Amino acid sequence: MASFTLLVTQSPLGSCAHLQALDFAQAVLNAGHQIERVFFYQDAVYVGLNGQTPIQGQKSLAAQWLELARLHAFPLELCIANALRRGIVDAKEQARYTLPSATLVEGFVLSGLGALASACKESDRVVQF
Amino acid sequence: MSCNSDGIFVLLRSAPSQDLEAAELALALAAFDEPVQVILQREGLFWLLEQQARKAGGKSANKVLAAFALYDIALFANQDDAPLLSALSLMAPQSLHWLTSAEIANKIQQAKHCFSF
Repeated sequence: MASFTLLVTQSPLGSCAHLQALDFAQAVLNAGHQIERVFFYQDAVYVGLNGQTPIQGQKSLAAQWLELARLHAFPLELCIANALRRGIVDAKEQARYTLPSATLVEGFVLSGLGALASACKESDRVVQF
Repeated sequence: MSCNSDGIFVLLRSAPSQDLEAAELALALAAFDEPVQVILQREGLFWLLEQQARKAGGKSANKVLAAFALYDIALFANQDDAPLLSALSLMAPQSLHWLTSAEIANKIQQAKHCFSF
């Protein structure tokens, strides 16, 4: 069994990278491997911005990530620096920067690049989308 | 991506964005003692362009690249792109090493992880 970390860097709105990453993650898990974490960087962090409403009948990417992560117990981590620049904050960062509201989708977490460095050490593969 | 044991390769193939996040990733991984090598390809050579800071108080891309040596990050470029450097009247920094496409392909194959921006 191999362990994988996914690094997603593309915007959820401007490409199909998230769908490809979700398909890849499902295939990895179906093959009996493990997803250690999914790390969202650059515009990919927009997936964790709450208040987004998908087209009627479609399931949001955030919901798809959350469902897969819940079933297979891996964390969904947004780069905290990239998220802050884009207005995506949890309650702690909201209080620290006295922002009007927390905007992070529940189930995602803000994390530093140290988490990605750990992933590079610990995971057999880090695959970028 | 390929998985051997020769550290992490970061390919910069796009011109720098406002917040230089690709370079931040390389610097952060190096700060966590990961061996990092960066290759500039195609529009990635624009990272060498002397320019005003993109944001008030922000650093220019070439200054951030200059910090790579402090973190033992090796910097490479594809020698096929050398004409672009000349066309832009850019001077290659001393820390920059030129590689052929075959050498770059070999380095990527040897890398433990490879990221592209």
